[in-house]
Amino acid sequence: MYPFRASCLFFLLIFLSCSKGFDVDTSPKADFELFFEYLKKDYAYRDYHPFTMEELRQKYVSQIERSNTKNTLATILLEIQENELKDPHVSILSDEPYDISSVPQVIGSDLEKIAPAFAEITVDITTDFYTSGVVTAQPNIGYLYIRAFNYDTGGSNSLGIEDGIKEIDTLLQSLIAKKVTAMIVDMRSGAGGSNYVPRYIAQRFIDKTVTYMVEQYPVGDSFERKEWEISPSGIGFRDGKVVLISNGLTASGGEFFVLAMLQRDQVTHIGSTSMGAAGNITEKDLSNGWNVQITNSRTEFADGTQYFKVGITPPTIVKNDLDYGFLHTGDALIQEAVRVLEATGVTNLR
Amino acid sequence: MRHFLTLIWFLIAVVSAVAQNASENNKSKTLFLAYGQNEHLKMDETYSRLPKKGLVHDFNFGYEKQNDNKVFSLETRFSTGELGTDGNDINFIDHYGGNFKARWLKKTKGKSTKIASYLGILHDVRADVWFPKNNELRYAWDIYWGVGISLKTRYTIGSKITLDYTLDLPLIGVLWRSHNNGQQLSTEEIQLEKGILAASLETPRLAYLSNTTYIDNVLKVHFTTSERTRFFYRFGFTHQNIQQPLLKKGTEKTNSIGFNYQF
Repeated sequence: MYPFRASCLFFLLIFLSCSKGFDVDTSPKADFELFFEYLKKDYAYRDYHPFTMEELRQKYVSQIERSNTKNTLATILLEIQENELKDPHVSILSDEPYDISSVPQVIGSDLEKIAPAFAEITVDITTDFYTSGVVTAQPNIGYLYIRAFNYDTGGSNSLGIEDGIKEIDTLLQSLIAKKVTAMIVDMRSGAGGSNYVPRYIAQRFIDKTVTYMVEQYPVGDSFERKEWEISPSGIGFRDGKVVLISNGLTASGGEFFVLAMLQRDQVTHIGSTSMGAAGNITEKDLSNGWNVQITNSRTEFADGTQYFKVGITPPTIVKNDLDYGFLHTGDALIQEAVRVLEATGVTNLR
Repeated sequence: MRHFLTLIWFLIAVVSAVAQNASENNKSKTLFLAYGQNEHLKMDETYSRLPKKGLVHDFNFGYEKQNDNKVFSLETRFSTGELGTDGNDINFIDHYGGNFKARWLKKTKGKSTKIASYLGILHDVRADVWFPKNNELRYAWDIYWGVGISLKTRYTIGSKITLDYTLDLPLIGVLWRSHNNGQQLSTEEIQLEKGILAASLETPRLAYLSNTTYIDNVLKVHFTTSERTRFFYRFGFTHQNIQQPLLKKGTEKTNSIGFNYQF
């Protein structure tokens, strides 16, 4: 009888103790605290600001205590997103409209959003992900425009390289058949992507095995470190000169691509400073139905140099003027890329 | 909750009073099969610091061999369904969980002829895999392989009804958890290069009671329908608490009905 009674008592104790601890407080104040728990424990750049996450919490806690409403919470979270953290990866996702007009928001330049018009290019192939061809005035210079680094742009669905992305081999084969001796790789105005798609594309241009990026993500109080390595793979353009074009909308996975391409021996980087959306993102849920998107890993150059919020700046800054795409289609970036290649000895052999 | 406790005490009291003619020293081989609903309540800090809930399908089948004072059993459970956060319809997760247990039990000494208790060794392999539906989040898993103790108590209530209570407590083992902080990094890299098996078994760590706790409780009420067949109602209560690298804890309550065939 003893084992049975003992086991029943044990069962009851376990049942009683384990059913507790899952009650969720759904008040805006509780979601405020939950948001800061995510920042303190899961946010990869928690130590990269002039304030600690607790100091940030202290700054706003009285506000939510005075007015424990969803509208106040929305205002606080947006204020933190736009004017405190200023991390391009941090955002609040909610379908509910709130009056957040009191929060000044940073408005990005529309200029960087304009995709190339390809006026200088004889376009050969256009797909969902790429446009390729040759420079009309210099047909031995190939041109590749990368429209996105993932099917779900900005997403992190990493392992499945889309078939459309894999079409790069066909495009490169076509350019190689045209006997191009140099390439312009243009990735401006595209958003981010996963770790794998940028690396997959860069493998077609890289000429050696090399570590191009270090990624660190929080595990408890410390960080786990991973070195990202790249090796040549697939049909590639590895011998000739390459000019890489990026701009202010180059972010996240796009910046991973820049880090990988900069390891190439014969590459010249032009354009403008990238967004500095370092790291990868994840989403965390709040009890009120909103989600918060935070940076859950930080990425840096292979030598440890940071680009978080400061971006990756090309040695040569080139921007289109405000009339580009509206009053004219003369692309200053492609023209500069051609000039760079001509200056380094690429000439028309035909 | 209150009703459940009342039911437990009622069963203990009634069973103690009416248990008659318990006869356990027989030889039998039994196959059983059950289906039910599993009420999942789990928090996994990999994804969220809010608990996720869901009512998922639960399948259970096994084999039990009783030989005088010994019981040997093999049992498999599998559950699948969708989990979500109350009040937040954005993050849903597809859950797949299961375990495989082998028990070698020996009857304990006792004066009562009404109750038979068995104590022995548990061999437990279990896995819990979560696939978030949100593309921003990546899958995560726990795979556990361990040994522990198992306790089984059997009442025979008259000639038609028997009650089984089983407690399984894995004590020491190995736990594999994916490297996942909502988004996998090195694990995915290994998967890409070496395959899913290598990635799954990437980071083994020693699991013991204070850092990895699994407690399975099962109450079964059997109703004899013929010489070879019995139907049963099964209530299972599982507690889980994995401490590292990110906390995962929660409970599973299962209500199912099943069928026993003795041969």
